[in-house]
Amino acid sequence: MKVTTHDQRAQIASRLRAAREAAGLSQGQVAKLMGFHRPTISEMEAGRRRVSAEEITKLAEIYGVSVEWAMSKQSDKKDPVDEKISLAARELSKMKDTDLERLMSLIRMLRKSERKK
Amino acid sequence: MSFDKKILAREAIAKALQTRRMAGYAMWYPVCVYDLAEKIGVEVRFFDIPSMEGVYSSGENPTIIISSLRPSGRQAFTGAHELGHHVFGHGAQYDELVEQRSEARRFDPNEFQVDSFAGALLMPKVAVDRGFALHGWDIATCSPEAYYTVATWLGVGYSTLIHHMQYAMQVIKPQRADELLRQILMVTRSNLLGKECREHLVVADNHWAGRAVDIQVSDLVLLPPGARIEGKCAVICEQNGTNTVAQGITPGIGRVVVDDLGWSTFIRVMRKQYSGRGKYRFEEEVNDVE
Repeated sequence: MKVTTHDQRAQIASRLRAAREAAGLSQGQVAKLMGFHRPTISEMEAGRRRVSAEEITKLAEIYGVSVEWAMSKQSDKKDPVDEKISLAARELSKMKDTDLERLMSLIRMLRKSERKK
Repeated sequence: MSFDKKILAREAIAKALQTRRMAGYAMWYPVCVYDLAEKIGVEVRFFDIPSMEGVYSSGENPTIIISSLRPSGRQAFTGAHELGHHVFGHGAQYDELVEQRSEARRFDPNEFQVDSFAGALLMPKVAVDRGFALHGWDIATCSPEAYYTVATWLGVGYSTLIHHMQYAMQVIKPQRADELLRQILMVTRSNLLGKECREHLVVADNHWAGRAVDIQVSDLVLLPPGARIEGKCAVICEQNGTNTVAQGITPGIGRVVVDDLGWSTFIRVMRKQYSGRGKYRFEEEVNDVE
């Protein structure tokens, strides 16, 4: 049980870091937006500090990602692409497989069901 | 199935003008397509994917994703192209797109239409005409530097503007377009600056109006004589009787002012090859010292 909680925290931590980087923000910038000290964000992303549901919601909003994605326990590749989403991409045929996978990882993390501000 | 390109283009122009109007932009001014997109509820993201220009993703949170590894003029055109997919309601399920990946390329009416949309959104005829007229430039005889100046005001690439004026507006002849396209971009920039210029250069003279001067860190801006900068995102790096040259040094928003002319405009600087949400692209760096 303890191991599961630890793993889950590590998973959330890693997703929060990925979402922050995809949002183009530094830990310092996020800390300023959240009203925290910079080390607090660093501790969250290292999985050394518990992140409350309220904090995850606020971070997801700042990063423009789905709370559901941020809290998901499964590996990123198993996350389904929201079936409500359709894509228009003219040069998909020219994209390298690795680039396509990175793109789909970004699309999987984007906000889905939350109401926009 | 055959498609009438003229009809597709006409629909695209109407939609582009309608989109501008809806977002509150006058036809005779340039637009920042990312600001426009956010204004109509479309999220913009930059992403460092080398083999992609851009993607539109629909859903409850419509998003356009643009490669951060392209020149700024090309990024703006891609942004407008992807926004076109949004306003026309284009898109296919991911699995369908993957299946189409191996299909041979053929004329795609949707792609043609959103290219026309992008051209009309970023370079409406009224704005292009105004860009030349304000300077007293005749499009039949003016220099490549004049075209470059108007292109940077509109926020598009030099060759994009020329192609648009040749094919969509049909106001310059193929021979004239070829002549203009033959001049190497670095030569044009160096001619404007009066010395070799390898950085991206934006020409913001006293006719600049309608949008902020948007640059990336290390880009240069040619400003009117006597210009000064308010804010720390850019600095004046050269000042003489005819020119003032500024350079973007850190992300942020500032103001360019020429007191003698009573002229000012905002200047916005983003990180070089910025990757992230469009809304944070000018976010100032925060000192990370604990």
